[in-house]
Amino acid sequence: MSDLLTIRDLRVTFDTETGPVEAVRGVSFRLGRERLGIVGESGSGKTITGRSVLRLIRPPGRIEAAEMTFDGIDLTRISEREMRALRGPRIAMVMQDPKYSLNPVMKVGAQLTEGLRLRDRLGAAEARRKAIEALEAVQIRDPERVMEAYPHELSGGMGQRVMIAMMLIPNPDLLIADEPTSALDVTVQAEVLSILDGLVRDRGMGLIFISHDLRLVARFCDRVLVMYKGRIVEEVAAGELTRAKHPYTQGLLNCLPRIGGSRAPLPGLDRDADWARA
Amino acid sequence: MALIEIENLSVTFRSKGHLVRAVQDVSLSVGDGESYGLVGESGSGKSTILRAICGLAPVTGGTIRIAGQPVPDPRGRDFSRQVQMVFQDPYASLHPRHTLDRVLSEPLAIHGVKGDADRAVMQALDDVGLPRAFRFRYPHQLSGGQRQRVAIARALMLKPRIVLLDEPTSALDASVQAEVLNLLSRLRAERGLTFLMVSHDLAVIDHMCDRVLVMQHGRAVEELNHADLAGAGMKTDYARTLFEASADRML
Ligand SMILES: Nc1ncnc2c1ncn2[C@@H]1O[C@H](COP(=O)(O)OP(=O)(O)OP(=O)(O)O)[C@@H](O)[C@H]1O
Ligand SMILES: Nc1ncnc2c1ncn2[C@@H]1O[C@H](COP(=O)(O)OP(=O)(O)OP(=O)(O)O)[C@@H](O)[C@H]1O
Ligand SMILES: [Mg+2]
Ligand SMILES: [Mg+2]
Repeated sequence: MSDLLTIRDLRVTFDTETGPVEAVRGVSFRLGRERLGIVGESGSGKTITGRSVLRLIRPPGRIEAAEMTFDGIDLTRISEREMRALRGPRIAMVMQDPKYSLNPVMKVGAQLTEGLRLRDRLGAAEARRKAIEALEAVQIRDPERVMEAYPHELSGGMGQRVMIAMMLIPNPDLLIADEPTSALDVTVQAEVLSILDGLVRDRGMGLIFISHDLRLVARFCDRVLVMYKGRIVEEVAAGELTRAKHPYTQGLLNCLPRIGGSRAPLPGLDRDADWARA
Repeated sequence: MALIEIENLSVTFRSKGHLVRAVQDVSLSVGDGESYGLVGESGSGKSTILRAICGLAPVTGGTIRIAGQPVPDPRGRDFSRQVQMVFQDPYASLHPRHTLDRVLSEPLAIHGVKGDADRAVMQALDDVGLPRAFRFRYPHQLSGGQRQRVAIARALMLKPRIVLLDEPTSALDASVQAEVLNLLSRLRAERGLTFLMVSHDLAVIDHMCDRVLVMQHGRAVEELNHADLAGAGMKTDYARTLFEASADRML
């Protein structure tokens, strides 16, 4: 099976007043029609890696890569117009801050049906039906009301689910989901994950699942990349994540509270260890 | 005496002919120095309860008292020196064109707090584990977790007595979550803070809270104390479902 996405030696640099910040420093990976998790501490470059695939890095940020190929298309070469045509229908991204990515002055229903009407040329009633279906799929209880609501009228988890619904409507080949379920309770989360799972299994979608939740990634993904300071420090089969070898990955796992566990201060990450100096 | 007392609180939003009963007849009380958790279904009214305390939601019934006094309307300055909230959405709650320095020093200026603002800002950055070099960055130059730490630092600038925390660590990785939870616990012990906090992660609630209220469809389903939570002593089906779906985070 050929790869859906190949990234080789990706580097992203921001020029700031205090000098250049290297957010991503030589990241390489391949993605098939599978669930690839990306974990790593805050600021390690997960979001910037995801946004780079869509070329959504604004100046003063710069992307450099030896290779970025999506389904045979050289993402480093194509024009901005061609890139725009890929975003949404073929490569979609669920952003980490859902409310920030939704248009605050446009009703949820209008945002969900916009693409269906303009791109797929559906009539108003048909587009509306599809949008409501998409909301029901992500466990929105009262989709009719939510269609008429503005983003600020939604709860945190509802905003997140609206984003997921919106990104899934055009049936993308690749979905980059950045913390897509961080605002969901465990039962709604399970429903949303099973939708994503179904798309990977039945439709062969590729999924990049960025998350802080190591235990979630361990049970949901196939493979996991562990990032630290803009680099991939370890790649493991998801089932092996809790037995990961790298001291950084182990350190992250040790920081987690447990139900019924001690309430003493949680262990921190030893940032003076050898691995941290890379 | 309880520090926060909420009795039969109802909140109803009106938007274009729809009535959204976000909170229905919810009562809870949080003791001085206690840490109280809110968990439950997405959309069940958890954030709305915190917002109602701050005067940011249309209360249609019930009462809210802080230290025995009904909260004034509008809440006013004394209230915000006593009660601070960390919002669920760190992007929306930080002004996009203000540097961290301004975000953190502004509460001091507004409330006429005397003293060395520079030092207070540096200390606040240290407290939440952000490099001092970030002081003149803007929110969009930070990662999601870094922004959340700024929001926590800002809430603590005025040294409030009560902190309302809406998903304070769901945007944070395990190591920063541990740092922030340890920081919150330490500050609670040192300053005698009272917490009312929302989280979806039962392990976080178990670690931080003395009691927890489980919510669904705008209503309180069941209150659990710490031993009941850790020992699976819940009585309602919904609370049990949440517990069982959290099997991956048990000891
Ligand atoms: N516009 C920018 N200017 C300068 N630095 C930036 C900018 N955007 C991001 N960064 C920096 O790049 C690094 C990587 O950011 P990124 O958002 O990818 O982190 P992340 O791994 O997604 O973290 P989190 O888990 O907290 O969301 C961070 O240290 C961040 O401060
Ligand atoms: N300004 C508003 N106008 C109309 N409805 C609103 C408004 N704010 C919240 N709601 C509705 O109130 C209900 C409760 O929302 P709330 O944000 O309290 O939920 P929550 O329990 O915090 O959920 P989550 O875990 O997803 O953050 C939701 O149905 C939401 O759509
Ligand atoms: Mg991120
Ligand atoms: Mg909420």
